[in-house]
Amino acid sequence: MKQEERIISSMFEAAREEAPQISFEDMAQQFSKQVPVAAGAEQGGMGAIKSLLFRHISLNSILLFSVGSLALLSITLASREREVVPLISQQEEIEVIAEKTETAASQVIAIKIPSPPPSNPTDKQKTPVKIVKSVLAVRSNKNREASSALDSKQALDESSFAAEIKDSLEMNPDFAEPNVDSSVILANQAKRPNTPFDTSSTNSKDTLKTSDVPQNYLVDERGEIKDQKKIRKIDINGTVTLTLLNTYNNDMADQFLTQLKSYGLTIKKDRHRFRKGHIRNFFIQLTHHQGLDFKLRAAKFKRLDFILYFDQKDDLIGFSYHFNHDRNKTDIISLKARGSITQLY
Amino acid sequence: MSKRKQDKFLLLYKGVHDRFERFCRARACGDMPYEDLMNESLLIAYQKIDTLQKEGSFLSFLIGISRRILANSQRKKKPLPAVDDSILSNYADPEDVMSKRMDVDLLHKALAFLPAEQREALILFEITGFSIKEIAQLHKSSDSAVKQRLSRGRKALANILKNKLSLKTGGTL
Repeated sequence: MKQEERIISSMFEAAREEAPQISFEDMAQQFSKQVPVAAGAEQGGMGAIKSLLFRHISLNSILLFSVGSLALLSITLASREREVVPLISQQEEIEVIAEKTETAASQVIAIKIPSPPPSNPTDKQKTPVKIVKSVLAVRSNKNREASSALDSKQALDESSFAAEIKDSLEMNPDFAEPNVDSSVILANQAKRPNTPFDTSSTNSKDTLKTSDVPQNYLVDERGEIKDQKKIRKIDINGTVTLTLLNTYNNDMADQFLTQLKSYGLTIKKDRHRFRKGHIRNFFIQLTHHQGLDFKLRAAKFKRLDFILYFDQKDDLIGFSYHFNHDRNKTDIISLKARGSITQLY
Repeated sequence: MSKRKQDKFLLLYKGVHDRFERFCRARACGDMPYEDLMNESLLIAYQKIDTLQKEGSFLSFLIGISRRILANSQRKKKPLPAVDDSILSNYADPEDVMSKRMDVDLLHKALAFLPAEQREALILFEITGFSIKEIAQLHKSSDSAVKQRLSRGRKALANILKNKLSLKTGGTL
């Protein structure tokens, strides 16, 4: 057996020491001839695409992200253009009732069919207008300490609002409604006369019927509201202000919406997004059984005031919205209006 | 890019060419032409060179590929053709047996009679120069299993050589 092992070992040794029958050069040459074919098959067509897709995952993710961003951007731009394009409808007569400066008048144009002349021009009755209540929505903890200060500030805002309206009426007497005394609207217990344009005749408490009031179109760069009912300031007996600050947390924002609901408005959709602790994007769709369908989309605002207007019976008759203490937009939206507004800051 | 990759591959291969060629000659004997085995192994290794983690294990990488090629070819093909006794009878002449070249060829033919695992373990250990641990890694088995295969393989090889040659030469081994 030892002899066999010796022979086997010598055979293995011979095998180890044997020079290769194929030299490296021959093998390399043969390999070089074949490799371009293999490499070409790997890199060509689908092979190249596969290698790009599977080997460069980071590159692919960047490409996908950029393509997705572009698509999203294009969709957003297209939808925004659709919202901004104003719709101008034909009317028998256009009366501009811009209530403030000429600049404001160029931005907000209310179009209405002229109302019939007053039935009782001698009626000098003044309707007392008073603020029923003024409510600021619940604030966040941070602002709770300064709630009293904000209340006083809000009162200041309302008085300044009234003063501004008065000033604008003086500046544009032709555009002002004779029956509207802006100083009276918000001043408690003030009286105001009925005017020749007052279609509610002697009873100022009666709200207007859709049949005898013109349609109101509010069109500006922010959107379009088609209002079937014109709210006159004479009908207003009181207001309630609900405020949404962008510093509110989710609970506070929900309370703001709950307060809106408590006044009879239905919130069909609402959506808001927080960024860095602030409400960044806000969307709300308000509806009412009288026909209201109002969408408001806002971004990067600091403060949003919803002023609710009530008649003599303390029934809600309309509302207006104001961003960042902006009282220029004083159009009152009735509960029969339909439209959408986009406000971007 | 392709040229650079090719050069790099050939540089790696140059260091292991001799040992790889010996392995292929010994392992492919009776299964397929060893030139074909080398060629196929190199092409596949070139395509999958990106998966090679350490350049030091390039020979193991090549041998692993060639093992799979052989296993596939055996699976697809006919049963292993038995080594023709007439081939061994060519080496019956003691003068030829003394020739190293003939020794090696005879060894290759005799190895072909062994079971695949014993054959591979013997080739890798005795001819290619792998350690027992390296063979164990390649075969995914333990060191003791490799030692067992080597021991049994040697005994079986001795029997094969003895029986085949004694049939022709009257028992010189």
